[in-house]
Amino acid sequence: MRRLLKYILSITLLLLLGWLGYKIYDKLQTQKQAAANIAILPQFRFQTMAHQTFSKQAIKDTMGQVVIMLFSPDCEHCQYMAQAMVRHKEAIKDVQFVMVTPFGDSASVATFAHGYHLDSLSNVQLLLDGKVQFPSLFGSSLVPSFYVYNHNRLVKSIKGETRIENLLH
Amino acid sequence: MKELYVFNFWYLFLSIVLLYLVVTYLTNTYIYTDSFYYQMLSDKFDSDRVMEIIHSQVRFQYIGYLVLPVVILLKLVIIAGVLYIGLFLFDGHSQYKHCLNVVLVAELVSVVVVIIRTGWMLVYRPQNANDIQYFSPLSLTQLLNLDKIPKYLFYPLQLCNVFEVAYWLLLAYGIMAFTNWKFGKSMRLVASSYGIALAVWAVVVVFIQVQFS
Repeated sequence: MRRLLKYILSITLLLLLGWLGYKIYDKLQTQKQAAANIAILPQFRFQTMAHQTFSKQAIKDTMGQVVIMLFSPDCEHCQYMAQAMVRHKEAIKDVQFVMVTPFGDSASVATFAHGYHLDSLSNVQLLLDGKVQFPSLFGSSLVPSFYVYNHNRLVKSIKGETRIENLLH
Repeated sequence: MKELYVFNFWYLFLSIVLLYLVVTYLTNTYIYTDSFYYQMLSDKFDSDRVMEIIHSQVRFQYIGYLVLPVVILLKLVIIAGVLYIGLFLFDGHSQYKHCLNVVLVAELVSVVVVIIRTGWMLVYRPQNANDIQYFSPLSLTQLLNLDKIPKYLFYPLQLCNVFEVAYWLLLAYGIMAFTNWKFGKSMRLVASSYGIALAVWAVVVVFIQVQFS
């Protein structure tokens, strides 16, 4: 009986460690690949709230400053960032914000945009990532995450809430 | 030898909790000060947001004092459970309450670590979050250049320290006291129960860090 329990426990632990090890390796590989992908603003396809495809080509001027932001409508830090963006709308008026979320539907994103007055900013585009491509494309699933591009090249990436000034190049 | 481990669990537990609470209070009052938070967060947040975070931090400190005894008890219960399962599978005969007392005595090592850490930081005030996060006395991280090591490996490396060795030795000594085994056999039991559990825990922590980075 004890021997059987030992075997079961050993196999369970080995399977658990194997699975965790595989997931860690897989995530590290994804991050490594994403780091290479995002040096130049990568091709992407997300959906607008009207369920139309929005790709890199839809950005007005990829040579200007573009901030790609991963967010969640329910995240307190994202809500604070939305408030800060509206508060600093003059400072960010020349920056194109592409806010992407895999964590909400069009109704919740519309409520978020309206509630925090983001819909009053013409340089902010809110997008849905229904197929959850963002984490593998950009290497992060942490909200909020920011990828600041200038002349199509990544200038810096920031994970977590930050000052608006830090997003300006 | 066995007499060392015959005591009222709750008296020693409450004494340890009291020590942790005093050290946590000192840390919150003299290390995690408003100016420390301000210095640490002002690069990242606007000043009104920093004040908001400081105020919420103060609220969480009170919750922390309440949760602390529960967390310590949970840690003791889990490690004692791991040792008990190890003993059962090792053909040893012991009661769970004996394992609990062994783990509680070994917990004194953790108390010493926390006292040393806090004492050090009271003398050499940390300037930023890294000074706190990466400070692990007498650990492997002090011998390595942390700039060249991925962040997710810090925790497993910090676990390799002199106090962890002392913790293992105390666990083995306690097992030896209750089972009348030789020290080497007790140490093998600790390695194959607590050691494996600790390794799994370290991998879980790395997994969480990597997944949410």
